[in-house]
Amino acid sequence: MAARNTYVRPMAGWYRRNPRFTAYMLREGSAVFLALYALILLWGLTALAGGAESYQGWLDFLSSPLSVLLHLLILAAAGYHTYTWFQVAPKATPPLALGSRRLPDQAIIMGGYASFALVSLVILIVAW
Amino acid sequence: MSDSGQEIEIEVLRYHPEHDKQPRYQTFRVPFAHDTSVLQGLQYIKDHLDGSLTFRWSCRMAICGSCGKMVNGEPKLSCHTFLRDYHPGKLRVEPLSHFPIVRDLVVDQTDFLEKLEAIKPYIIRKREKPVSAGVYHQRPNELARYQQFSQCINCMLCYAACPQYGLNNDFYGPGILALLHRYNSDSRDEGKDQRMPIVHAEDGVWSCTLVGYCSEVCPKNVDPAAAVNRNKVNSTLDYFLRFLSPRGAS
Repeated sequence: MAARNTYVRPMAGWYRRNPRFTAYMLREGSAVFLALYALILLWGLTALAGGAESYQGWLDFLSSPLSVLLHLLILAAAGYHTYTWFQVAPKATPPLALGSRRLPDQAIIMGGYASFALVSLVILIVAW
Repeated sequence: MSDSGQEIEIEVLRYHPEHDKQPRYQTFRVPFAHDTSVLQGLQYIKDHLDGSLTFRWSCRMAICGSCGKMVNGEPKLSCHTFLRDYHPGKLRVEPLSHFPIVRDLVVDQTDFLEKLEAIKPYIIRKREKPVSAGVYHQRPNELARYQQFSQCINCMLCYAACPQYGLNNDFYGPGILALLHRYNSDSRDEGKDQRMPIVHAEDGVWSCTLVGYCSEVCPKNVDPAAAVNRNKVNSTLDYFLRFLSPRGAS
């Protein structure tokens, strides 16, 4: 067959073409805030190792208005990321049978939330 | 097509490989009734307005998988999508995204077909049973393991829904990997060893980032996203189990 004179459409800006793709990019983008939070914690750990004065510096940063605003942003992003994480969980879960019937997707999602709540509760009790 | 007096504007992507440097859009006014599909709208254009409009179709009842198009940016079987749902607005019909355009609404399927061949989409036996030995038996729960994934009609809507395939055509993509999973999950099949290298490859399941849109657009509820992502689990198990057994998990 002779080479066809086909037209390949460009992909530039693909994530703006479909609301579904935009939601996907927001989902992936929210992970950046989680990484940022991990870095803040890591910074706190190194500050702690650096002595009382550097640790106080980190604590001072935490109570600054900028930090509070940042943490609110991170909390919102983490909440959204957690929601999307549980929503896609059934796709990666091997089919679980309950007797002869397959466990419905919604049960896997709710199971995720239940274990999330349980683990949060345990951490709260231990840390309090 | 009965004429109920209503008309809708259909904007169609046109591309002639010998005359056009890039695609353009052409608008047609098409009469429609309650049961007029987008495909019938295109057929009306071809029969009455412009006989040069080129598009694929065959069965007209969502079985053959030939008539996939982008309708207002969403991958749809055009026989299974109705003009009434877009009225009083207009609709834009384009060829399936992420594939090269051959002409008008026809895309080049070569890449898809080559990948389909590569996964050996048939039951492989280490030793074939003679016909006289009878059929291969299968229990209902063994059938249930792959039945959903065997409903694929190769319509390629999931490829048009997959930005990872659009960005990297080497990626095997949702539909093909779902079919691979269908044969690997079949209790009669013994060809898993031959297919797993495709699962493990960079362009196998690991190029998927679980956008999940493929499963939403699938007209047969195959759920390719689930097939691909369960194989990430299989691929990971294979990777770690090879430390325990020289033959891996398979």
